[in-house]
Amino acid sequence: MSPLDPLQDERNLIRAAQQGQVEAFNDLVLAYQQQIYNLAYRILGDPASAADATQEAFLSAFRNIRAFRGGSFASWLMRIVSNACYDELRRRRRRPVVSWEEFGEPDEEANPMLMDHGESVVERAERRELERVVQAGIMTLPPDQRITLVLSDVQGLSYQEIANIMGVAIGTVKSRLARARSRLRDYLRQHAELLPSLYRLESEDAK
Amino acid sequence: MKGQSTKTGGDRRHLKKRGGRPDVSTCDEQLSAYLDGQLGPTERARLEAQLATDPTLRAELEALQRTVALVRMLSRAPLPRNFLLPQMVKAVQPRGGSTAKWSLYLADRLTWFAAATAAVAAMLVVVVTGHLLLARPAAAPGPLTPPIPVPGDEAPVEETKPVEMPMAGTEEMAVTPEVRLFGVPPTPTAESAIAPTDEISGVPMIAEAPSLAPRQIPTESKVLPDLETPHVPGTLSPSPSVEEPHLQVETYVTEPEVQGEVAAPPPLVVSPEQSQGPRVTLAEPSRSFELAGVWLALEVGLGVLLAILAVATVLAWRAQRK
Repeated sequence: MSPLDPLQDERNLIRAAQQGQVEAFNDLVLAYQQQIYNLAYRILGDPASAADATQEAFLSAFRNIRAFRGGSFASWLMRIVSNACYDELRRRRRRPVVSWEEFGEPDEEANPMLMDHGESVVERAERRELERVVQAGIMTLPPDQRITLVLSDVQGLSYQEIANIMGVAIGTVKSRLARARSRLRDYLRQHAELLPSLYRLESEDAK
Repeated sequence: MKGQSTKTGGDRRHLKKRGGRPDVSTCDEQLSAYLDGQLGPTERARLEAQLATDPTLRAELEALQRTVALVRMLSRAPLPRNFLLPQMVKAVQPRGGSTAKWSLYLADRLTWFAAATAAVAAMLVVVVTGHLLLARPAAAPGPLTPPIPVPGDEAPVEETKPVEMPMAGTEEMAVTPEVRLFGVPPTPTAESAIAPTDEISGVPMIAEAPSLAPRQIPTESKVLPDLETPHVPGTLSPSPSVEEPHLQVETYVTEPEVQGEVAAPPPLVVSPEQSQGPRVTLAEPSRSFELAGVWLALEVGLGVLLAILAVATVLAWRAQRK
């Protein structure tokens, strides 16, 4: 691992993985698993499904790694995990099992990002509640919009990157994202009472 | 949503009847793209002008902005575990076309193929040189053939199944040559008879026959009755044990004559003293034929194997370079 050029290092790891070396691929897994898992978690909403989708995505990525022909490896991985999530969402639609309790709760205690911000207990509780509501709002979106929203606003990808990942035109990304945001905004308005006052969308709006 | 195509022209109208649900989406798309800096300069200028004059639109933008901010501030979900692939996944090779699978398979085994190719090539070299050194003299005429029979004056032993000879002395083993003796006559068609009878006739007739035969007879007479009846057709099986040697001798005497007629050249070759000589040389041609066949089969087999391995090695090399 040369610290000088991480990109070259990644390319070497990919090449080694393409030769069938699991060890090399596992280095890539270590580098990307947090990002990929988080993406899956925000799309699917529960840790168990997200873990399944993540594992499935990495397995699929390794199996198909010879199909990877340069470009952004992260985008390539995100495309695979997005597809895995999409399949899972379609499966769910056939037999919906989603419930409010599934969102947000399970990993809060174990989440150091939430713990060590110097937040007070109240602030942390508020934050938890807020995340729970936002995640619940994301869960109301149809799969295409949901994935677009997460790729854009959770992962921070550009329209072009999202278009590449989802295999659609930029215009489609634009409209899907707009609809997803409006829908989420509407959801959060409807559930304003669940949001901490600080985050209410219409706090200053007299209506 | 319908408004996508009419977004630029329809802005003002939408804004006026902002409460109407169907039109909000077009407006929202503008706002959303605006938030991401994805509007073209003219569109952005127009929207900004509208925002400056329309507080409701501003509020709408703000609500959207807050929504996006809320999503963005979602914390990273902590990893429940590692997602490292187990080593055994190695066995599951990448899919995507049988050719890819093959080239990968080959690339993985490049060294193996190279080593195998080298080994087979070496074997082929050994076999070919062996063939050239050993088989050529055998194929060559006269002068080189004698050395084989000469060194052993009881040489026929070497050439004609040496195992049987010493065995003849012992009781049990004496049976087997006998069985073979009787076994041979039933199928003595011209060619096939030559080799076997030579072998056997060479044994008893010259060197050993006089001394060994008498010893064998008493023992055989005990054993033979059991064995003769099943194996030998009635004509050859003699009733008294004593007559057997005569029978044997007679048959042997006749056979050499037949051979002598069939194959004239051998006598010429057999300048060496013994009468066994011709019989040995007679057997040789057929044997060198067999040997030649074996050599050829070995060479062809190795050649084919070498070709296959060489192709595989080249493919593997190319696959690995990719």
